[in-house]
Amino acid sequence: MRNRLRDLRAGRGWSQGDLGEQLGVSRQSVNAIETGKYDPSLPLAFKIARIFGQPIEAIFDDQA
Amino acid sequence: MSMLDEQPKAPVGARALVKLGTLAAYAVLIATFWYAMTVIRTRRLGLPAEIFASAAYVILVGATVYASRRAWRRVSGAVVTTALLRRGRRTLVCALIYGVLLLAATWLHVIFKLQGVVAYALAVLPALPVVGMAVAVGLYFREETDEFERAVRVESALWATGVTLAAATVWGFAELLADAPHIQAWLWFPIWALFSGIADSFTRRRYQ
Repeated sequence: MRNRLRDLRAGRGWSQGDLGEQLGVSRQSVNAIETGKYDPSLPLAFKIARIFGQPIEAIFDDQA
Repeated sequence: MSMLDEQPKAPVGARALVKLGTLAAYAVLIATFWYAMTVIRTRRLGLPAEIFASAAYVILVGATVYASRRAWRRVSGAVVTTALLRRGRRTLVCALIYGVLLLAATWLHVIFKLQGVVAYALAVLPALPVVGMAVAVGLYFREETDEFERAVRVESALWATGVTLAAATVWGFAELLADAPHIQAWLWFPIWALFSGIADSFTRRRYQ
C-alpha cells in the first residue's frame, strides 16, 4: 500500500530507527512499511496516525 | 540522521562466508553426533570416555551456536527482539536437557536392553525437550510484539513446514520404492529448523 510515511518522518527529522522506537517496532519494520512492501495492522496504523496527528487515510492510500 | 537511515551491512561476500561457515560447522556437528550415537550404541568407548566426550560435544555445540549467531548478527544487522532472545534462551535450556536425556536414555537402552512399555517410556524422554523447542517457537509467535518480525518468521515457518512435509513424503516413497537410505523420523525436526533458517533469509529479502 502506498503511503506518505517517509515524507512525514523526514519532515520531523526522524530516522527510521527513531520512528521505530516510538512505535515499538524495528527499523526494518518501518522500512518495509515505507516502501509499501508490508501493510501494517490496524492497531499499528492507528499508532502511526496518532504520532503524526493525522487520520489514517491521510497517510495510507489503498486506492493507489 | 539520514532519511533512509540504512543500517551498515557487511559486504555480500562476508555474509555469504558466515552463512557457508555456519552450514559447514553444523554439518560437522551433525556428522559427529551421528558417529557418537553409533559408538555409544555399540559400546566401544566405555562409560567414562563417553561421559567426557558428551560433555565436550555439548560445549562444542554451545560454542558453535553462540559464535555463528554472533557473527551473523554482526554482518547482517539482523533484528534481535526481546521475544527472540527469550526463545533463544528457552531453546538453549531444552537443548541442554535434550543432551543429558538422550545420552541417559541411550546408555540405559544399551546397558539394560529394555523392551516393551519401559522401552517406549524411555524413548519418549529425549523427545520431550525437542517438543519443548517446538513450544518455544509457538510461544515466540505469541510473544513477539514487532508484528513485521512476527509476519516474516511465520511466513518462513510456513515455507519450512511445506518444504519439510514435501521432502518427507518424497523421501518416504524413495525408501519404499527405490531402496533409499532410511531417515529416522526424529531428524525431520532439525531439518525443519534448517529449512526455516533458509526460508527466513529469502523471505526477509523480499521486504528489503
